[in-house]
Amino acid sequence: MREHLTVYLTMIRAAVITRLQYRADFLMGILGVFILNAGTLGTTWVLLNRFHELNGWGFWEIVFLYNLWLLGHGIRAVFFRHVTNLEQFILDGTFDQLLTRPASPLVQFMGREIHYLGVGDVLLSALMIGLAYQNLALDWTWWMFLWFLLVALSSAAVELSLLLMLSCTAFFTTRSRALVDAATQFSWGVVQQYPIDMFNNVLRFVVTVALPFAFMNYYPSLLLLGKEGSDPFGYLTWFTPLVALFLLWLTARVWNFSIKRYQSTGS
Amino acid sequence: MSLFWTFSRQHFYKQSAYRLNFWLEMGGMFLQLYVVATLWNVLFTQTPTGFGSATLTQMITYAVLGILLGAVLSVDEGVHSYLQGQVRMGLITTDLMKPVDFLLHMLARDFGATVVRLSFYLLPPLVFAYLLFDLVLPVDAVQVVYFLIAVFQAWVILFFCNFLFGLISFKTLDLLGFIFTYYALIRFASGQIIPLWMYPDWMQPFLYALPFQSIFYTPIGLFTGVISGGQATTALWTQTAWMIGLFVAARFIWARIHRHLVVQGG
Amino acid sequence: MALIEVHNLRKEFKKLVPKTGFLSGIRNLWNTDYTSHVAVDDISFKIEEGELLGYIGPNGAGKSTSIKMMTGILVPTAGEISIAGMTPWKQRREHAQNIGVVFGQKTQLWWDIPPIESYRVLKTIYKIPDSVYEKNLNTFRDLLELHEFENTPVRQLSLGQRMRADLAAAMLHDPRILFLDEPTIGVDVLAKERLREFIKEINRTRGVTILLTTHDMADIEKLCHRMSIIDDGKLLYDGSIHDLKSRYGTERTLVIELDDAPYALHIPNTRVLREEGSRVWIAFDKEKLSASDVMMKVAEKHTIRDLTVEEPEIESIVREIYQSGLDRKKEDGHVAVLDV
Ligand SMILES: Nc1ncnc2c1ncn2[C@@H]1O[C@H](COP(=O)(O)OP(=O)(O)OP(=O)(O)O)[C@@H](O)[C@H]1O
Ligand SMILES: [Mg+2]
Repeated sequence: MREHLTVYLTMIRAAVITRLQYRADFLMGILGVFILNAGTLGTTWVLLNRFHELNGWGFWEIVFLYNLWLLGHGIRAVFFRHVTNLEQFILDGTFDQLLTRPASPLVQFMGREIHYLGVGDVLLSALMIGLAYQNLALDWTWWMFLWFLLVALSSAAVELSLLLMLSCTAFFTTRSRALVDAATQFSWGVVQQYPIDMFNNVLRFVVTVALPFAFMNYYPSLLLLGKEGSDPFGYLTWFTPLVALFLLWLTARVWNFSIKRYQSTGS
Repeated sequence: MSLFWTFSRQHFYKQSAYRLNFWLEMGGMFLQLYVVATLWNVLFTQTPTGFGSATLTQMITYAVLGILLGAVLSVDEGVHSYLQGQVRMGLITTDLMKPVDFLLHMLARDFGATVVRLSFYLLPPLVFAYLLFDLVLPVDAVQVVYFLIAVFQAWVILFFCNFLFGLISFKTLDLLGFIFTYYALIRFASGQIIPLWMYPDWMQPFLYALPFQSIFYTPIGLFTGVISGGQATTALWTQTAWMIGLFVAARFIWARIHRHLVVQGG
Repeated sequence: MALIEVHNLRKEFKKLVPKTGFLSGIRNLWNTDYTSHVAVDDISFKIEEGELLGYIGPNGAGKSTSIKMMTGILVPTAGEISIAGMTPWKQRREHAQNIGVVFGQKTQLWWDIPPIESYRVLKTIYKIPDSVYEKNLNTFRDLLELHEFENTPVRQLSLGQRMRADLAAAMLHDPRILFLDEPTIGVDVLAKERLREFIKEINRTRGVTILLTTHDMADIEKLCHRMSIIDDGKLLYDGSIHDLKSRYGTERTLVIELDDAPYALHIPNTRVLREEGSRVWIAFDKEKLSASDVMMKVAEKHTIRDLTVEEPEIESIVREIYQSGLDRKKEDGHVAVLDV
């Protein structure tokens, strides 16, 4: 474990030096992230300006939902944005090189890059969650704040695991991008923007069990917003960190299995 | 003209080479369709008067077309991403050396990609969506013709917008950051997702003053019958005006950049 | 037991067979026809400690695939590899500590940062002690003139510099075995010379066992005593370069300068390759004729002013072997391995 950490930290150091070469993009990137999210939130605002609520969720509750997702996503994106790029690593031979070194390929792959765009996500979401907290007149106890931190990390872990598992298909088919893109639509296209209790059971099942992106924001929000009674499955809100841990464990298994497959099929 | 077909064929082969991508993208599109249809259903049940004079079927038709057209008239991929790629790899000079007018060359390339997307992403899913959802279809031939003209003009407008946007990469080498802004702007201001009339009143003049509403709102509005009668012809002429305006702007700015490039020697 | 032992190595890849013909584009959308392609087909060889082996073959012969199996990246479909007593893919990590790998096509260095920063990461990954790291780095600074560019981001390096930086990276942890897949690709004559010097040097002074692939026969001639030729996944030749020349290179070329223009040079068992003014190139098989036989036949009709005998270049021998491989493939899969 300590060895993994040493390797990871050394690699992160190299990744930071890499990133510092492109400092000029930094501000533009962060600004871009702000505007992009403002555009999406703006659309929601236009709707709720007219309809006042969506299936029992008010504007600021949706803002909270949206930004809890963004917070987890942002934390993930800072350190692990490149997991969906695994396909490229395999195609251009970078991955093969990881296999010729006496260290875990997973640790080496994870430490390969860091990204600043996620910083924009984290900043914006923290700000917006703060605003939502005020506008909703929430009043959390201190342990709720700790729970919130745990939830944010779990949210990042859930996204990381799901994306990495999906990207592992690159070991089988060389092309995983399309699959990842299609699957992440359940994330940014469904879970991030809408309270999932408005959808039918099939879709709910997909985002709760098959691709449990809903644990990034919907389920944890229920407790944080005091809405756990509004959903018959509201008790799932307590399981968020457990789900994250389970997914991380599963990802490690899937990863090892996929590498074995890759080594024996070569594509 | 043959240039246009050459590029279409090329793109056709590229598209069909990645078969899994095609089915997955199709699935993704139907997920989007389902989500927006649900959204409108929920809102309609909540407040039946919320859509103004539009019916629920019209709204769902609007959503279907918004998503399908969004896949055809792509903001992610287009002449801007091509330009950026070429500039970044230092390959843009090879494009400049070709014995065809640069703008025309780019237009042909984009046409190829669009025709292919049109045949893969508009017609088949539209038929399928018609079976799945309750849609309103155009009632007379004029409406269909108007719609087709509007889609064509929308393509030209989007092309010039993308082109002008892509020119930024000659200055910065990179579009990242800008692309988010551009993407958000088009998403928000084109009426692709939410029809323009549902925006707050004070915002509408701004939205109508931008070229983006011509890209999505006009063709979709014509198809669904939201825009009709005198409004229809006005909308089409507005598109034409934007086409010409943007064409002139693109020519002018490109000429300046081109001169600059020649002076610098690429 | 040899340092590297490869027994009946085989690797198959699955490939999608694209549809052709009418509406092929659309029909490809549900195409599921796979064929299996044998990239490495029943190869066996041994390499002793300290050897420098050239591993050559035309594009797609299976060289890189073999190297990937020997470095533990890929697991063979069948067959065994034992390197320093280990099976690469089973004891991947311990094995990795023993070997250095350079893929000439693709740098293992971090693209945007100077080589020296990449070396630091490798130092941690390979757990290189400080003293060894410093000593090696200093040696390579001398031998490869690393100091010229060790602080420049890799993306700004020329191909030659990058290759030097990559070689140093592969050697930092004192590996016993070095796998070099096209280390001279895209490098100019002088830089090639320098790379070869380095490779020779570490093979000689450090006793590093080296397996090298290349498309440049000069690399082979200047570096290796032994070479293996593979084509279409099969081992066609494995032996010394000297043997290869005497076995397959039995053709000699006699270049003769005459007083007058050459005419009526019909000598049995020879071919006129080229005529240029009063010069003529005549090829003959040295097993059947001797140079003096040919010369005498020519002298019967002409006055000879000057003459030289050209030995075949290894390049032309190899070309012939590749060509016969191509012809064989055209004859529809009929395979006859050259008898070695
Ligand atoms: N991952 C893979 N999936 C499918 N086929 C592969 C894969 N890697 C290699 N091949 C095929 O195996 C054969 C051998 O390839 P390999 O890369 O080993 O050749 P090579 O001898 O290194 O050629 P070159 O001199 O061009 O580098 C080729 O036909 C290639 O197309
Ligand atoms: Mg190769």
